[in-house]
Amino acid sequence: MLVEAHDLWFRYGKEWTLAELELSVESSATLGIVGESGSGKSTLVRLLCGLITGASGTARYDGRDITEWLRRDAKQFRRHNQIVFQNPASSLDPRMRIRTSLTEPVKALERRVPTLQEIEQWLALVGLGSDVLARYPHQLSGGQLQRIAIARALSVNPTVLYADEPTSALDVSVQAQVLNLLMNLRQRLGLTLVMVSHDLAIVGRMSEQMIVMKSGRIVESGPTLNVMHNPQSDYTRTLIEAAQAVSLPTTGVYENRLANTRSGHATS
Amino acid sequence: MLGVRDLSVRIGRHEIVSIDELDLPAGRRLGLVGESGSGKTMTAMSLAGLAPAEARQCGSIVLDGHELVGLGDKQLARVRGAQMGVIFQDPLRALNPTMRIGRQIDEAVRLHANLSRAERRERVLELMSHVQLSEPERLVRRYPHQLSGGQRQRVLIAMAIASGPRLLIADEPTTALDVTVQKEILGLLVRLSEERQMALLFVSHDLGVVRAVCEYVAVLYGGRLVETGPVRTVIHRPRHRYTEALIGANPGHASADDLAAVNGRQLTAIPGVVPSIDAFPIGCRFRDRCAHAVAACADDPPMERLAGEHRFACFNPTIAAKEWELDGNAR
Ligand SMILES: Nc1ncnc2c1ncn2[C@@H]1O[C@H](COP(=O)(O)OP(=O)(O)O)[C@@H](O)[C@H]1O
Ligand code: SF4
Ligand SMILES: [Mg+2]
Repeated sequence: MLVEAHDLWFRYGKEWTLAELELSVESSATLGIVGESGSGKSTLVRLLCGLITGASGTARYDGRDITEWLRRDAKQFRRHNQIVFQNPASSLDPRMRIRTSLTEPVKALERRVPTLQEIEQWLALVGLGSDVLARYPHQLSGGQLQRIAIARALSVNPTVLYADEPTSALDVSVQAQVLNLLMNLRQRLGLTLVMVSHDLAIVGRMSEQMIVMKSGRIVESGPTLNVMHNPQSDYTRTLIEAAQAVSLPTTGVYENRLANTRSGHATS
Repeated sequence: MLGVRDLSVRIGRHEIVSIDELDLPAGRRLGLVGESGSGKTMTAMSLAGLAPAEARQCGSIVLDGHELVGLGDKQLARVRGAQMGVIFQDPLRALNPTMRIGRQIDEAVRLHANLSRAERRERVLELMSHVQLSEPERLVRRYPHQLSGGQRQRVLIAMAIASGPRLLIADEPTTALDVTVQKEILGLLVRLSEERQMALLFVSHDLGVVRAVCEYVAVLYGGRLVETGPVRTVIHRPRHRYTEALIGANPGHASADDLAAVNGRQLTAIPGVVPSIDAFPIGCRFRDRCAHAVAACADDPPMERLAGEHRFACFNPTIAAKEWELDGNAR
């Protein structure tokens, strides 16, 4: 297992924010973490990528305890574990040009200045041109900023990409572009993707495995399709109902009808 | 209730809203849908008589027998105050952070009715129970930051319905909320609209949300009405390529079977971005992003009328719809 947690507990203050967590992520897998705000999703991924510390129990990356990684080999650990957040505007310094923000991780973690050619390659990965380099964050759209945040995370060739509500601040149409980009990059680069969302529709669509969290605990986990077809907990059922209340009957209209027929044959 | 005819709203050289015809009958719910920058907010604001001062309107907007186009600010405010309530996406910004909840609702009540203090207090608690805020006596003493996002949105709804409006305008009211809270708030809006015979003009970028709430939908792009009709018809049988594209971009799925077919697969995203207001192509404004554009699309597509109030303006509409028409004939 690439990422593992056993009996993981964490608290910011008196109350436990995370309790008794068990989790394992295989290399190159896609894990979706779903739950309402306040359920502890962000805390969990921040712990797993080493942005916060102080958990009790075990959390391992590549067989080694994350606390130990951070103590002995923090840079190496951070190169392997990158994260993008919901609000890209807040993770990019508003006073810095995009070029400066974009090159930060390589400068900090690899102690070198990337070439323009490299930078252009990162931008090409996320479908942007070098015209954005001289801009400031406020001059770009939410979708563009999220692409830049992704390019920045990928600049150090990570093994695991954590995405914490990466599309919650975006329109449905921009969201589709960013989700496609993430699926694409994952395949092309063999990334392990851990994707957090409060929206079951997104996790259900994007991930192979999923975890349902409530009040800091995992209420259900398993292969996404199993969980969605046959939810074991009432809470998962509530989330499924909430997502279905705002679903569309089919996605992609005509094309999707064909897709349904195909899957109908395949499963029957 | 609300009727729009040949409405054009211009700011400077740019026409930012253009709607030939749109109706919202009393007590019914209409969704305005499109990406950001497609003109939903501008349209809703114009219909509410809240267009910015520099906007020039022509055409006609009739609200409950009153023509709004050409009215002065004061007259507009009078019509609005009596007929219309408005709620926005970000409840925290719409509430005063330093004032207790009870006082804020009370001020909304006071604007519309001349009541004694005791009567007003009664009314505030009653409004809070209408929007299903539990323990209202305790909540009135709280400040906005002490409430959850869903509670704050309920407070705003309570304030918006204080005047007993016949039309409620809601601009992306649940975008910032969890899906479970969203479901409750959407349910509340539908219930209030039904119980009070209050029409709802509902703005969202998410067709799934519009489907859940509204009976009618108007799809906007580049400030223009591109397709409109009963929500079921438009979502099941869209004709305009932009509507089709919006549906394809939605990650939602109605059933587990749908999900099995699409899990891990790419969404049909709409390429490119909504241009800025001065950069839309001539002719069909969606032309530079449309996978089905033909030579004719360099002209303005005329609105076509189908059965059942379904209208669209597209030169190369979806095949699904054609197939449906055949179905219809066969049946
Ligand atoms: N006050 C204004 N002055 C000039 N342009 C505006 C103004 N308000 C909105 N616009 C433009 O009108 C278009 C539609 O905006 P808006 O109504 O906000 O769309 P949406 O609600 O779908 O995001 C955008 O291109 C926007 O830049
Ligand atoms: S009119 Fe043409 S460009 Fe516009 S949506 Fe229809 S096919 Fe596409
Ligand atoms: Mg808007």
